[in-house]
Amino acid sequence: MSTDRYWLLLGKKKSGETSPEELEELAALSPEGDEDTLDALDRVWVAPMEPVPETFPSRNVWHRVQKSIYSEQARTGRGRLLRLGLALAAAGVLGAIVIGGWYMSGRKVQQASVDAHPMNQVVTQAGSKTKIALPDGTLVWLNGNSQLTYGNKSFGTEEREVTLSGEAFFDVVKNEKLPFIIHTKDMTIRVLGTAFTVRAYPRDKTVETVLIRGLVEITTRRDPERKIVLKPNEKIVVPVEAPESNSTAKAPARIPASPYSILRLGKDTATETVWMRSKLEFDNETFEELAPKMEKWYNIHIHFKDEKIRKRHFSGVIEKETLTQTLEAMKLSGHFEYEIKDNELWLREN
Amino acid sequence: MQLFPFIDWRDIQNRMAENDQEALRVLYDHYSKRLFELAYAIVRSKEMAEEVVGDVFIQVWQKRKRIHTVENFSFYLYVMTRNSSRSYLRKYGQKKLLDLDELALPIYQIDASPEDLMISGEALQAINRAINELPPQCRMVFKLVKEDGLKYREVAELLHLSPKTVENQMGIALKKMHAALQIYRREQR
Repeated sequence: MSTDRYWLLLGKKKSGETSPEELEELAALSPEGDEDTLDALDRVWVAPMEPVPETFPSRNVWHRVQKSIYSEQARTGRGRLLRLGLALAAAGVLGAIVIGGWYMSGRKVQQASVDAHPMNQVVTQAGSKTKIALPDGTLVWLNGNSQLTYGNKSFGTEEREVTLSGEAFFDVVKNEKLPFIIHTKDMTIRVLGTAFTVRAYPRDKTVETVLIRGLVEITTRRDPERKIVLKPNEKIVVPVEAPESNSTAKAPARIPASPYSILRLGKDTATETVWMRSKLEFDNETFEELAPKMEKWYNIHIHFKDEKIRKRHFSGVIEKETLTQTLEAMKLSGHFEYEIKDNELWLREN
Repeated sequence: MQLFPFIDWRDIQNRMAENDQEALRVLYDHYSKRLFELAYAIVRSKEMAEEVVGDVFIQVWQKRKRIHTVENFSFYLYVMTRNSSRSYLRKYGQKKLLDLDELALPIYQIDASPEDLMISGEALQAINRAINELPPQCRMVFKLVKEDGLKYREVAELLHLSPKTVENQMGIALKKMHAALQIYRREQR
């Protein structure tokens, strides 16, 4: 069976598995005048071989992997950030501005595409959340009271631009040819394949972005020429410009703040994404520690009218409970009274 | 054998151990398709193969602190994929967990033009036909060695074959391809 021996050795040679002795043996077995065919075989060997039709796992597989990473982070993430979160929340509760219409001015490109193709719009009610897969595979978790709009036909093929009012977590599929752009009032975010949250509720006085990983580039309405690059675990807070005079009846005071501020969150961004989870667990935490999470969870602002309540401890799990149900349960051990008006929650000593 | 763009897998392993998710993405982009092909060949269902591949990368991430020292990381991924595929088959009550005669393999095509290969279109067709007419086990061995760059002993371990069998199967594949080329060359004269 010397011919079969020849092919076996040739196979080993091509795979780089021959010993010097085997190479000699192969040379001895090689037939005369076959060089042309063997050369052709060499070229075929180094050419790539592809399945037809191409087989590859769908995008959902990668998203499942990512989801598992996020839930791991959520499990291990501890509230080292809570004080910072509270400070931010406090900064955000100075009254409310109502921006008339969630469309921003100066969005000519977006406007044009509205005329050409109808837009898809996803709206969530207060207290409800939803997860959307955009046509390009990007995943969006939309918090309550939020609205996401994108082009019906053009999205994913001609452009990847969305408009957000409210809060959302984006997990953007990489596509270097089509940058993913998010328009909010006062802030435009250009994405280079990444995961982050955006908070841009019309009533908030600031627009925020927290980057979990990757890289995003931000421009503000106030200073569109300046590009701000956000690194992982950084949060940018941009004060909202006073709305145009025709959008609200009462003209609120202008915010004299600096154009934006960037905060480093350290490794722990758990508080920023708490609202995405299916349940909120707390174990012997003070109300002060719990408040920022509840604020994110229910999309409310919490005000302590009595300082003592801040230090009271609670344990529990919130899943589908409404804010009132949760507060009623907490009241049993907490000795406090509450009052809810719009998105504001006031707590006072019983 | 295929030439891959150079990626320092040792560095990828280290970066994963330091919680760098981009490193996992690089790994996924490079391996998901190959591992999916292996999983699909074994479990014979797209949905199940996708579950297998997802599980493998989730496991890699969960074990990232421990596996950054794994020497032959590429082969490790193939073994994980095989094991995960087998456990899916077990879960669905299949008796034979790795049936080499029933591997679900796609049709392969040499992805180069006849001009690049300096052979005629007919010769290229004959080569493709020869590859796809190989019995499943032989085609799988050939694919893993030629395309994925696995060593003979790795293929043997992965498919529970003896190293001798792998050598023989590779010999058969080359003989058939050579025959396809030679028939054409004879006709040309």
